[in-house]
Amino acid sequence: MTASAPPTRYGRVIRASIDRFSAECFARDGAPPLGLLVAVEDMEEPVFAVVCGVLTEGIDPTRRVTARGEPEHDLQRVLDENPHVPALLATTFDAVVVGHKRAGNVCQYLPSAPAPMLARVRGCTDDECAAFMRSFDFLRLLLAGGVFADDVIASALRQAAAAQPDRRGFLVHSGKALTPLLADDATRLQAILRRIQP
Amino acid sequence: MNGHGTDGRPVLSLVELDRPQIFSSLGSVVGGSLTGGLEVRLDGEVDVEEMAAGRYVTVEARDQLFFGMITDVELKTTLPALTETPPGEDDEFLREVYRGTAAFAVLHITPMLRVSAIENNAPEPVKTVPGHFSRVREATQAEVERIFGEEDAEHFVIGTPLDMEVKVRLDYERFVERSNGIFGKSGTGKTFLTRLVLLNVIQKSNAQREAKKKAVHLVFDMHNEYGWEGSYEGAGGTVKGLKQLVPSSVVVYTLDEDSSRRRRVKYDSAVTIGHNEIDAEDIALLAETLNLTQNSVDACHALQARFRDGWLKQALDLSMDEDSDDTPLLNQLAIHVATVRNLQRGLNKLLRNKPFLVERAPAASLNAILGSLLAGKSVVIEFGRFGNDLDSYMLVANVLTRRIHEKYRDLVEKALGEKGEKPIRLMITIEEAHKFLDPRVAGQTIFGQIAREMRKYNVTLLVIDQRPSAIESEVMSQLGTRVSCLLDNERDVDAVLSGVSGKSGLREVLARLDSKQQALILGHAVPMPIVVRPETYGPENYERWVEGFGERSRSRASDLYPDE
Ligand SMILES: Nc1ncnc2c1ncn2[C@@H]1O[C@H](COP(=O)(O)OP(=O)(O)O)[C@@H](O)[C@H]1O
Ligand SMILES: [Mg+2]
Repeated sequence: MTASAPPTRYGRVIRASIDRFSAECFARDGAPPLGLLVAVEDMEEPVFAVVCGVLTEGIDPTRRVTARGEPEHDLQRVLDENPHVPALLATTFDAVVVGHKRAGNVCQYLPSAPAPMLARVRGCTDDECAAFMRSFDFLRLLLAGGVFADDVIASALRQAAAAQPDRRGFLVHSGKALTPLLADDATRLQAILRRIQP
Repeated sequence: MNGHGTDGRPVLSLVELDRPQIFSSLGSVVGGSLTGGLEVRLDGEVDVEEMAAGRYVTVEARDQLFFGMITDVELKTTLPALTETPPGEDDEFLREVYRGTAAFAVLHITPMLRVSAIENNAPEPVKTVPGHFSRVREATQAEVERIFGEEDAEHFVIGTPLDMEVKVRLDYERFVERSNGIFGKSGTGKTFLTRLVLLNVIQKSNAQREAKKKAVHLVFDMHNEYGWEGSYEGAGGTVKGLKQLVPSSVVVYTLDEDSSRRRRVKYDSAVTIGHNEIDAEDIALLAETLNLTQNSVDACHALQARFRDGWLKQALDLSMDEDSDDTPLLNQLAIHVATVRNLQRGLNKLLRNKPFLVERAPAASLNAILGSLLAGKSVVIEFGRFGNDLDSYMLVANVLTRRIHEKYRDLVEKALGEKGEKPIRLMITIEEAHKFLDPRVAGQTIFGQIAREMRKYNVTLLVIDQRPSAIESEVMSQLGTRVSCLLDNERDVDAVLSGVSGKSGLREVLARLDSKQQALILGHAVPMPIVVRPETYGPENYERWVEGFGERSRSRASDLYPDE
């Protein structure tokens, strides 16, 4: 662990329930990628979650961001001409809780309490990721994770696979784990499998 | 091995042997019943194409092991959609994912034996099934070996199980104490298997110390395949017969000296049958092929009742003239002239061109055969060219068997009365057995009688047949050990398996044997049904057989070529 770079810190929890939380990013353009396995710090043992959505919007809910510039102006020009706009924006991300650590062991079920408010959220280290991906029980929690659950699952598995020595083997394995979970929805299963197909 | 696994549980194993600890794991029991067999879900990593019906598996239940045979392999899927839209040709990923998960294989296993893994008990028949999720693996060679016994004076090797190098052995004692059958379609290896069995029984008999444990054969050798040499489809064209391999234990008689001489068979003597030895009953058995009416058959019985053993001569001499000297006799016996015509035509057909049928045979002929048998020698009766004629075959087999059986009955009864020695056990081999044991005739023939009275008079049958369904079911049920090569007629398969538990599974196995040299063995002489590849009957084994030959254990290859 000492050798690898410290994990990126992405933001702080600003909304939390047992099964998911939202966090505000430290940097407006510093949101974690969809499907990333993240850990909530500032706790005795971390809670693990998978990023399931990112939202950037105006800070002031009463003043919405308006479209500026002429149709032929590209983004860079608009930003150059309106340098104050970024300061009016904030980025938050949502994450589905997929497990936690208990007495040093990874548990792929919900913790007994929500993530603490304002706790920091960071990406997981490669070691944490590898340890977590030894089991696929967490897929069940992700499947219930909302409208885009399928894409979240697919990106989570693809990202995890990238860090595995046997990428294809890992994906086949995860596909096998998904199959019984979606035994009654073959179309959905097939859709996810196609997304993770190497 | 300390008898305990790493987790402290006893290692379930029948044999304490140095052998690889890794068994080929196959799957888990997920359902089934004692009568219907077990369902075993194959593990995802196991290749279903490696499975084979007829192969043995071991089920590791809690404190015991079950042995069973794979009787069917089934492909299943949990996703109905997959049967409609299976992964395409280039969807290797999807196929890999589904293999063993949504699409998996189920083995159907017929449990046969169980053995307590903790006490070193002998295997017993199954009375229950292993619990849910018991692990199933391939049976090890050592386990199969343990179940089928070691080769010793009591067991002889019949073949090798599928995919194994061990030997399957028949229990000699249990084999010879009951009638047995060898079945299979034409060309599947019945004759080769029979020769193998005959040879081994002779050897084991010779190895017995006690006279009452010895046995001899009487073989009605329809196609001249057992005595001196048999034909072989492979190189060389012939294989050695019993007389060449165990000359001192076999006597060959022939019905057709011309043919035997032409084939350079070293036969011991010729056999003749006297008209006086033929019974009305023998003719009745041939009624169909001789075109005899029921009236003619009745006439035979009537004539025999009147003229005893001179009846056949009388029947041939009867005059059909309106007012000959025979008219009163015919009237008295209520035999119509038309019947006489039918009867004589049939009898003449039977007797025509058969030099072995003589008016009065020297008693020596039958006595010589009996003498050989009682002296502990097996007798092969070659039919020469007459084997192609079913009438001759049946007539001779019937006449001789009836006489010999009579003699045996006398001897056994005498032995019982005076507490003397019973005659040596006799096993009679007949081919085309259904002709003798067909439901219409089995009630009357001597063969039906022998099959039914079991070993009462120390005589049993070895029936060889390609149409077991034509054999009377009661006779089939008396067969102790049944060895069957491939059968493809469903009724034949059913007949061979009648009265066998786990029948439905075995049916699949039997119908899927290789078309040659593969046989299912079940019954009295084996602890559980098993599919074997019979030992190759050919030059590579002659020497071994002769050397393994009990008291003659130090004999050499030169013994194969005795200069008699
Ligand atoms: N045990 C065996 N050893 C060697 N060859 C065999 C054996 N069984 C079958 N065969 C081969 O199969 C052929 C047919 O066997 P055979 O016993 O004559 O069949 P069947 O009597 O059932 O018609 C033989 O000629 C031989 O080539
Ligand atoms: Mg044959």
